Amino acid sequence: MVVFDKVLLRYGAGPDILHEASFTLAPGSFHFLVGPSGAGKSSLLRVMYLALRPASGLVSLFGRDVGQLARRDIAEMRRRIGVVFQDFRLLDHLSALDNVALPLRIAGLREAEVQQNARELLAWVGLGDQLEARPATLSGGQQQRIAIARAVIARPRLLLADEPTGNVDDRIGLRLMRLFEELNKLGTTVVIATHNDSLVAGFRHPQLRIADNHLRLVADPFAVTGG
Amino acid sequence: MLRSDLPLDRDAARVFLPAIIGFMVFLAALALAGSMGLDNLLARWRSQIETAFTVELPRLDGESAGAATARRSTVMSAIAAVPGVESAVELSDQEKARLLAPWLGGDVQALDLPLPDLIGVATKPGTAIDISALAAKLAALSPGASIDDHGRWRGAIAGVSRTVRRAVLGLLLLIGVAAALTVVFVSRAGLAAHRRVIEILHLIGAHDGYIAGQFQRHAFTRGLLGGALGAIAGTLVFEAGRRLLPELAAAGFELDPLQWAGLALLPLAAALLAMVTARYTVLTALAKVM
Repeated sequence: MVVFDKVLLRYGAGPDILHEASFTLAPGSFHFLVGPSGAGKSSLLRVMYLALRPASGLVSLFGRDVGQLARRDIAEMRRRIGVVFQDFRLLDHLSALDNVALPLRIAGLREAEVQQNARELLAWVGLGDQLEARPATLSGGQQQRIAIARAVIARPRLLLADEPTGNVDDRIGLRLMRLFEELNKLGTTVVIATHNDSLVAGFRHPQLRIADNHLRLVADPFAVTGG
Repeated sequence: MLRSDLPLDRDAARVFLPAIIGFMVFLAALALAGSMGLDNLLARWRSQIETAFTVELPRLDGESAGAATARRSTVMSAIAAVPGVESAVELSDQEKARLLAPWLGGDVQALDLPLPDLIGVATKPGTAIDISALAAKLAALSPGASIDDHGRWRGAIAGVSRTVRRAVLGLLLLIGVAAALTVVFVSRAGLAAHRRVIEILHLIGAHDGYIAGQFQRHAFTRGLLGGALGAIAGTLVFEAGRRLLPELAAAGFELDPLQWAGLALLPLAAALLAMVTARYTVLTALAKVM
């Protein structure tokens, strides 16, 4: 599903963000991406959602070398990836409903189907009474839930979430994690970047750990510390 | 109202684009209506000239009045016998005086000039008469007889008609280029203003055609709106001009139903031009970003 082979990340002529990262994420797997702030978690996710090209190395998604993709193929591949951005990136001029509906409209679904799915999902994340609200009128936590609903509505095969529970209380955070796990059970590969230790501790998932510009895959983090 | 993910209807272009396109279509409608009206007027003149010629019979020195009458009668019979001739009428002295009045003043008859005899001949539309053969035949019957088939005027009218058509075509081309450049400018401004939204749409999986589609729909609807207003304004000004110059209208400066239909298509043509230009501009610009 996701293969990184000796990937080097760097912005322009700046210092290296990540040295020769190599790992493979199997289809249907669930990983936390952990590390201190500024370690490069968001940059790594940007490579995965095709917004950043690595300085060197090979990145393969869905069995295809992303460096060889034609422009049109990049759009097709992005439709199979759901992204929860750390800064939400909602469209301020659209309602909550229209924001969530975007991926389905881009995919060309019938409007009736789009409306039904978007309404159901917004109700599920607790925003059934805010369908027509503009993002600017909502709290950070509500905006985050809209961003998550938008990321998952098209049932992506790969879900990338950057601090998806950073602005919600524990109860909502837990509910959102359950949503990610449900999707994972349906076959979606999930990668969640977080520095929330309690969130990571609550779920026994393998981890991609970034520290000192190096990344390593820890398959069973609790076996290491478990004793 | 068309749904759009891009807030293009909130841009300044919302008013600017239809205003510019409207003005362009206004100019195009006026130029086109004016040239078509003029073309119709010239065509009417041409057809009047083409179905008529004048036979000129010089007076012969020493010829008696009776012999002159007999000669004119022979000539009239010869003309009437030509296939395609509808009528032949000898101009009276008063009519000749009226024709010469612009050059010789009002009282031509008082000058006692030896005016030639003139025969106005009308032909049936669509018939071709061998003018030079007829002229030779008439000259044999009446020495010095000649025919004026208004060839000089026909050439001049055709020349004016051709020149006007070329000028209007050039003008329409310039208007089209100016309108297209406006759409390019507006589309680029829109791309810059909505860069963040476009980036998000791209990241969600929108391909360039999806984004270009929103720009082209906007350009089409705004172009159609502006174009319709421009065409209506152009038509009103054209009609007002015809009313202010009734003699021009009476002479044939008017449009037929097909030409009115052509004018009515101008807004659609402008909207299509705006749409295609917007699509091309956006696709070209997006291809340059990741």
